[in-house]
Amino acid sequence: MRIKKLLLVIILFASGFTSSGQTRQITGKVSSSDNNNPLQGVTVSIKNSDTKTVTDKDGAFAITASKGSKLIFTHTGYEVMEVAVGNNNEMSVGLIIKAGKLDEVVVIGYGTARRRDVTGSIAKIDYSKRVNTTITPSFEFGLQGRASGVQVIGSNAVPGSAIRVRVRGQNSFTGSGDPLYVVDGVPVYSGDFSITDGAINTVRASNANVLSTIDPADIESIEVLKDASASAIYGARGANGVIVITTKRGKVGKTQFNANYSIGQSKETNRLKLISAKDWWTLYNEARVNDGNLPRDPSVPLTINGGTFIYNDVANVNTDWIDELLRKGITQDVNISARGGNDKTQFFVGGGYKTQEGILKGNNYDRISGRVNIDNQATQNVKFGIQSSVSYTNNEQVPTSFGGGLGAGQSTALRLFPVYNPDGTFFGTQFQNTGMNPVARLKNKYITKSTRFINNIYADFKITKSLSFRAEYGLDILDQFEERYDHKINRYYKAPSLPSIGLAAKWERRLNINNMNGNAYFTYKNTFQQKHNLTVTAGSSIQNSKTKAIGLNPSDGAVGFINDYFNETTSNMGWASGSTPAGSAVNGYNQRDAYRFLSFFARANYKLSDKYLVGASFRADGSSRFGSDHQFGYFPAVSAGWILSEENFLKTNKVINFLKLRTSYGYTGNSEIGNFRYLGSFSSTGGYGGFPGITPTRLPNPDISWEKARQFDVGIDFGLYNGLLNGSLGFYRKISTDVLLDKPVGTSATGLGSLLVNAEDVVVRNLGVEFELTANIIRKKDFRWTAELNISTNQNKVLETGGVPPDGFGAAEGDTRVVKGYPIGISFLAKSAGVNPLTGNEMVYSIVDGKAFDALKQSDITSNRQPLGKPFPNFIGGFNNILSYKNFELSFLFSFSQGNKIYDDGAKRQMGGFLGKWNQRTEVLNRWQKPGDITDIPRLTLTAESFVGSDRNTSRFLFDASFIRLRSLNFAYSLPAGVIKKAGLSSAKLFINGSNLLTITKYKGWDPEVVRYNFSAAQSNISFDAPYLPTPQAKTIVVGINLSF
Amino acid sequence: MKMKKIFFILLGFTLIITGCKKYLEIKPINEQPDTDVLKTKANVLAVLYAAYDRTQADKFVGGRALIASELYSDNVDMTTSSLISSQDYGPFTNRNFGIFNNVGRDVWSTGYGAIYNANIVIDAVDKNLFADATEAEKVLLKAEALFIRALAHHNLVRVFALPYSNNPSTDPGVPIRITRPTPEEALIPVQRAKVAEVYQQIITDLKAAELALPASNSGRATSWAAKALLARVYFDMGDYNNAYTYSNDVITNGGFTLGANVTLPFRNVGPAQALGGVIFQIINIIGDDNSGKLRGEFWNITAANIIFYMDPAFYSTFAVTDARRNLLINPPGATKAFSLKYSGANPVNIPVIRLAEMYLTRAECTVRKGGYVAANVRADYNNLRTLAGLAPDITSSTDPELLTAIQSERRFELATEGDRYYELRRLKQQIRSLNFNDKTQLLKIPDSETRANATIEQN
Repeated sequence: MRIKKLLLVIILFASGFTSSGQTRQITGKVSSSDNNNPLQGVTVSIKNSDTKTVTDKDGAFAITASKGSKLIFTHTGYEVMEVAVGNNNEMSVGLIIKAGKLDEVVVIGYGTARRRDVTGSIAKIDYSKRVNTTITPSFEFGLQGRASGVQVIGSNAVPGSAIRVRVRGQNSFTGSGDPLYVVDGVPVYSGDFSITDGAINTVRASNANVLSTIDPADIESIEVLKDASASAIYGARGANGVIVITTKRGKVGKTQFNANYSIGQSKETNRLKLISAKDWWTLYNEARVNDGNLPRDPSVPLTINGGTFIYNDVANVNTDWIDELLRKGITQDVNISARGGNDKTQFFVGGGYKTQEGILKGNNYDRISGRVNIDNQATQNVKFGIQSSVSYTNNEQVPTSFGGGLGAGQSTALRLFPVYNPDGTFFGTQFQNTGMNPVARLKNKYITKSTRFINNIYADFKITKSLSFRAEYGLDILDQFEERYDHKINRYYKAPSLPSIGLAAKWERRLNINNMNGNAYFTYKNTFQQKHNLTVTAGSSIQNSKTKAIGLNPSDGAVGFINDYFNETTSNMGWASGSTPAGSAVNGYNQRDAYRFLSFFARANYKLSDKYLVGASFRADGSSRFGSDHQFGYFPAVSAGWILSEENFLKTNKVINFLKLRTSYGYTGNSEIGNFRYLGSFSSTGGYGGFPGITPTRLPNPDISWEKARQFDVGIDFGLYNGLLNGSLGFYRKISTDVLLDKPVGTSATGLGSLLVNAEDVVVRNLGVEFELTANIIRKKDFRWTAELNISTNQNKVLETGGVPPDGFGAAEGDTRVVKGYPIGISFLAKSAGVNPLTGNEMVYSIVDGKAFDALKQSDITSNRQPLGKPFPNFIGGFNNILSYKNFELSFLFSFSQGNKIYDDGAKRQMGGFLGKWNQRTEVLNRWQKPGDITDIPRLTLTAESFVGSDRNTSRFLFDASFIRLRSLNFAYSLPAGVIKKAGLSSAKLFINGSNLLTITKYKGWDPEVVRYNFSAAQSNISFDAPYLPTPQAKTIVVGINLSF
Repeated sequence: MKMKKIFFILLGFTLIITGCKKYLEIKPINEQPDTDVLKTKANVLAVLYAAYDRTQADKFVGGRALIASELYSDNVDMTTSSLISSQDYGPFTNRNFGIFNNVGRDVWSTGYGAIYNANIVIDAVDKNLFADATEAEKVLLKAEALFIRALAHHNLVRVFALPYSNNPSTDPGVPIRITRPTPEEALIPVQRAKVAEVYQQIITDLKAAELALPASNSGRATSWAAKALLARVYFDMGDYNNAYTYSNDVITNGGFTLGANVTLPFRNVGPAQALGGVIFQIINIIGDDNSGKLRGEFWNITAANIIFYMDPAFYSTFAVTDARRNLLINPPGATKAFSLKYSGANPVNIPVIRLAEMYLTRAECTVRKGGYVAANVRADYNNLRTLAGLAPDITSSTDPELLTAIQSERRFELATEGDRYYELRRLKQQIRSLNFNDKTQLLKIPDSETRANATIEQN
């Protein structure tokens, strides 16, 4: 050992001597080759010498070197560069950003680590580099197709609507399946906090997403913590994965301003095809004849869906309701930021404004947001900082799906109905009922205004050289104001003995969420004898979340704006004339909720000789959501890694530059079950005759505890051909036990249908393989081409259901179920055997003898249901290409999903064979008409016997939803340096970006990417794959300009 | 120095850990923990009100329990297209019920919800959970709870089981629930008791309630309500002696009068009004109204597109001068007639038992018992005829004549009040071409029960 050192010193001296003769001063500038910005802190050293220096804030350096010697430039994140000293005393060096991912820094819970040392499974998305943030307000869309094992499906094209994110499949039934979101180290809340009462919230079918208050342009990177060793440090909340968002920080150097503007247009990706009004009338009469009736006399009034019409009068009406309700959406985005700083203080200041007119008429979304991130090195040992953001969103929503709007346009708004009566009034107003006229309903308003502050402060103390302490405090505040206004053409009141009048009304609600979060932890980092690396982190975390809401409603159908001129606030409402006023015109209500977490955590990572890695973590999580005996859950995890490429037998290998095996095993938990579920309680409802009543709210179970997932992970990370190929292959197995579920209780016991239990005998398994590969195919200075592929498969299976039958798990819509041996959310349907050519009836297969027979009664369907379909895809993934040539950049991302089926819950009424109330899809034109017809659309009928209600679901409406789509296409041109300089800019870029421009799918409905509106966690876990009258996705194209100066 | 630091750090952690239990123990704000709630009389009374509220619900006595019985029988026009195509009501037209039917679900879970609340009150009294009440107050609370428990069990056994007139000792009734179950006990499936057992429990509860209830009780259960319900229960069972005893007691000693107008029983609002001989009613007021379902489906504000039109054949049998036709059915003389018993834009009370039924019950019991004076029997139902503006019956005198007259009068008088089906079953008559004991005409035990109790005997 000592001899080796000595030898080294001698060699260095010797080389120093040999070159000492011709030394001279070399000066130069170092910049980043991608944007020519100066790089500060680049180490410049002379090969085989001790001499080194560091570049200053302008990227300048000066060093004494001799001709022929080599200067080595090293900088984190960049390729090491060697430049030989020639005759020039000045040089300009452009460092190339490292293509490999091995040395990137990844954020792990309560700390960071180098990628090569990580033993867990973490996907990192270079968000600011890869994602065009101008298209949608929600950052989650940027994850689509970019990380293996992460499935992201937006509900629809409505800006700010809910997005379903699943990391490595799904574990829970009752508990939320959403991952934990952490912004700059502090958990933030996600979900929808709008009014849950569907009678008040008319736009409920399209859930909102409070995460859309976060401006994607502020995001630097996103890490997805997938396996147990990565997420167990978040213990109780880690079972669904953790999404860690890091916002942009200041950078040392000259202040750099960046301005971005873009404008774009969007339209639906695909349109559902419905038959014309004439065809509908023909089919209606055919159905009547099939039922043994005569065709309708076209001169006699007929009432359907509350609209009365005489066919002869409307024979020429063929309203295209979908056309009336959709439009070309417009999106505009402005973003300005400044980042800079010096050795002591760095800052990032940014602001953005986004305005989006959705593709649904009347649906508008505006967001204005600002952020300040400041880091200050106060003394040598103390650093502190703040990350502060505020955003204000104004979200004008319109009903859709079952709520009306486009949902009505594809169902009950018959094409026979005109939009307007001949006198110019809206059709429907003459019946005091506009339920079948979604255009008239657009006069109603539903507006949500929210202000959200996400603020964190932190302080880092260096106690000794190797021990530091960090305290973080986060405050996440949402202030949300919702108002609903029903126009008088859509709301009627009839007083006894007076004619019916239109009576406008308003509903208001104010919600405040206050979520405080504190972390405090020690980090000990030391190296012993140059080969033992130890990092230990230990600390605690508290969270305190409170929700308050108050609302005001009209107290009765007879209450509204008596003087319609004053219709701004609920206080202007009164009792309609002729009504019997009973108490105050406006009712108020009040909601409160709260929960707390208290957690302790520790983690140790040990590395030996840069080859062998061992890690262990432990978290104790306490939550107010459980009874006092079960408040705490304990979540340990261990991991190990072996960097084979550091071993002698691979160290000199020309092909394999990096090779690491890693494995982990551990426990994570889930407690997202709502608050106080353990506690039996009474609420003050159920009054009688004017006296107050109190009613038991639920059955108590003080024994409920954390849902646990144990996860095993093994993977291999590799780097080949000197950074040409980087990738990883991983396998995981995740077993969820103690699954929290509402165990059915016979309603005869208490009238309450369920008891929340940790079902020990309910087991869900997720098995999967994930593969990621990055190829830096071309790495020339002027021409670069990087291709990224990720593909993952997840097999979800319910291993045990604790004896609960398929109908036992409540809240399942569209006949989606939990069935032993099948994935969560499997459809439980009668298997259709097509249409009997002789009778025209739909046949189903008997589960007793497998024979097909005509299904005539509801019980023919219900007693022959079996698990069918495929809620989860066989595999999902993305393929991204980033090319740059001189001033041009081109990138295109395809994402794909293969093998999943969706149960189209609306199709059964749009093409099921029963008509009379709904618009029909064009497939119906091919219905059975006479014996011998071979078709899959049965004989048409109007009778209830064939009515395809909830008990009449068959596999006929299961559709393959595989797709491949051009998720994102980006083309950019940077103006030449000469032009820019003249304009005083450091860079100027024009870009055009498209999303969802191309989709290949067999699915005939609106769009294969769809999820059912999901009001409860249980619904979103189980019924996601059974959409009902969905709202389509959008394709968008934007053009924009980006300036830096 | 270092030791000191470590000591302080450890001390800090210890403080945190001791504080943490307390930190995590927070209480809900909108609800009260069940361990505390039942410690005061006012709260136990409020639980009782909520039990009444469940009977009031449009899903139970004040709504779908009544609708179910009307759709089971023959007073409603089953050919109305909006009825046929209704997902909830359509299956009544062809007796093609599934376990997901919402009428079955509603009646079942709301009925047992009322029973659960009643059991909480009884449990609180029996276990002496609250101290701030006198013995008399406790007895009264329990008696009212027993009345509701009996009323709910009776509605459930009538809707979901074969009639007492079939084989009460072997036919499955409904589960009897007379204790407040712990969550563990609630998970244990309970099978259907025999019809006779359910009726026995109802009688036991009602007799206990009757003794303790007051004669008047601001719109809530009274001793007369319990007696009238006992009369109905015994009548159901074909126990005409007991049915006579109780109906006679109510008529002679209850102090109820029919009033001056056939519409009176259906126009009461709030706890203070009980005109027209209403003995027990579901109370609806503005702000707490559950009559909307009945008003919306037997009637509606535009007087068009009603779901439950009256059966035309039945309607045509009303005498043209019958006030019950001219004031309680609309529009007089039209083919598409509908009941006005539940009508108007504002809340109305829903009568559950009224004096008219007691007259009809006593009249029939008198005949069944034998040894009667025909004029006395006629006098009972002539009270109703007179009020309806019809000539009194002065001729019927034999058993069959009298029974026919009483039963015909019963159908006119109690039309759309949920009596007809049980009458037909008691008399073992065919109901819309099915035998009275054909199980296919009954709603299925709903999925909300079968999913936890797979072995429960299905209809």
